[in-house]
Amino acid sequence: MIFNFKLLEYSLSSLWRRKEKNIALIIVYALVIATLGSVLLLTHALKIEAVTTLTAAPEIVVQRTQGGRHELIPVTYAETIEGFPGVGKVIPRVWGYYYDSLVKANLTLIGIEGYQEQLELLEGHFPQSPDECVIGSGVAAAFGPQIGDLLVLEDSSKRRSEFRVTGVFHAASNLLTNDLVVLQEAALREFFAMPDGLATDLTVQVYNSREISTIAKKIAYFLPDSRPITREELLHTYDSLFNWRSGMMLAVFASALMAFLILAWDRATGISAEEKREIGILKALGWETSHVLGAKLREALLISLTAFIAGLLLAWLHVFVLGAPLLVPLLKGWSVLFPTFDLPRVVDLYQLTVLACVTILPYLACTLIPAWKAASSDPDDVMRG
Amino acid sequence: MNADIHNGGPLIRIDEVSKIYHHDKPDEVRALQNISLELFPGEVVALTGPSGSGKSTLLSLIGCMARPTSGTIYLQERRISRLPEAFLARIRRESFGFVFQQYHLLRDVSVLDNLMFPLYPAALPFMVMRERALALLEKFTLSNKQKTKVRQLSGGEQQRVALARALMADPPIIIADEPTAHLDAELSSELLGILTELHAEGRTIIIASHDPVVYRSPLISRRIALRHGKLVDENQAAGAEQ
Repeated sequence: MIFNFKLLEYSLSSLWRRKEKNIALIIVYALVIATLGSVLLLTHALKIEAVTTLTAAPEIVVQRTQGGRHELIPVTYAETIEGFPGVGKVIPRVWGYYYDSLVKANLTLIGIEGYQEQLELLEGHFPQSPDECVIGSGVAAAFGPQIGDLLVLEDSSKRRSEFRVTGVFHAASNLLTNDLVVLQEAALREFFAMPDGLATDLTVQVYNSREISTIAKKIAYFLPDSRPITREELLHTYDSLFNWRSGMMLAVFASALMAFLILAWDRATGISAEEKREIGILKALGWETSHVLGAKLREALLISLTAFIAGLLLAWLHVFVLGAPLLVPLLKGWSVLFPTFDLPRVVDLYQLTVLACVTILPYLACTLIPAWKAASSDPDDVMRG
Repeated sequence: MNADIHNGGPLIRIDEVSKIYHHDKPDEVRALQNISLELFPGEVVALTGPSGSGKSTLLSLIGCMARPTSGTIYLQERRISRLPEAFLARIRRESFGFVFQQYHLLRDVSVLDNLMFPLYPAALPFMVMRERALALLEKFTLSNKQKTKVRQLSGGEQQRVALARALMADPPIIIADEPTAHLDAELSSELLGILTELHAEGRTIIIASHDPVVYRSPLISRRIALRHGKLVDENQAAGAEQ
């Protein structure tokens, strides 16, 4: 029966006869799948982005706190930490945030020292003088300058500083470099009026990953005003952040799922009198229950697979081509912090399988169960209604 | 024809059959009560009686489209009334051709496709089905309507399509429920002509009708009268009809 093409022909003809209803059904179904798919694609892309970012992060970052606030850390702390067994390089980093009210985006300004090994240039060269800078692709897109152009920034006293762009970043993670402006350390200290001998934080290289937490405890013990943050803790923070975002997304996901279930329920309970009568006629003509179910299964598969593929394509376009404009309001805080950037175009097959199971299987069940109820009754009963 | 019906015994035997709709509910309807009768190969039987007498229900039971509430139905001495659905479907497909009072054609489907539906489960080659359908359309002078949708046909044409569809699987038994209900005198006469031809081919024909044009036709070899779901004496029934 599987290869009975006449049953497939019947299914196609049946779908065509109710084309207005079926096209409307496919549109609604595809939109629900597009919503569900957008949520899954976006949250997965964000998680991948976060994981990629952390791969390049140092084992420990040491900050200094005073009165619960983050303060600049003395560079001399680096020498103390380097003295601990198992510790490799300790690099003072100089960086800060710069908010541009015109483009409504926060940029991260960093000194090249301490970062050069993590960053890879797409084009150009790293700054070789205090008036040169390298920018992330998001900065280039938001502010417009390309290699050779000037990037103009205002410091806290409204003094304009001009930097010649000498390179644009390429990094495994767009999130890592997208909002970066890299300057020479001296230029950055001048821009942020940061005194010599102090840094924003220290990065600590640990040879043996199993010793990271021990070394972090040692740092906290010997330098009581410091706050060591391990990569594990960063991962946990990112995970919480994206899980929280996912939680917001879950609301959208749940709403879309609810819409789908209503659609499916309507389908399950709403087999029309015309469809029932048709099933009764086919039974009276000698069709077996399995023939009717085979034909209805083909119809349901054609509708659900068409809607699934169309919905996924819409979701892919929405998230990866258009930048998820319908979901961005839920990520508003995040989008203000960073200029927009391209999400990694990664699709998780497991999630797609789950999405297919959540949307296709219930629809098939909701189509087949009422058809089975009608088809397993005596034709006389079905035709009498 | 599909079934071998030459064994001298009854083709169909109905033994103490009752049919109750909505059993044990306030709207219970006793459509048939303890009916027993035998139908023989080659007969043309007319089931007569007023509306609601149980004619259509009896046809449904004979044609395996419904199951009796009690009693037994035999087809060529095989008990069929309690068979599983798949077997009943096969019997309907191979042994019976139905002509319904309301025709029960798929109105938005072409005449040709309507004719081929009974053969879809058999998965015959398309050309075989098509040739058989075209031959029947020619026989019923509907060749020029093969691509026309059923809803565009007249009542008489729909009746002929329904009859052609009933013959697609070449069944030995034709069951017709009020076949002239929507036809004028001329079309009724034409239909009886077709039924006569089918009888001449050796088919058994069972017709439910309260149309005198049908049950007084010379084609009819036996009349079975029903009143309130029970068999009644034919003379008594004839008297009541007059």
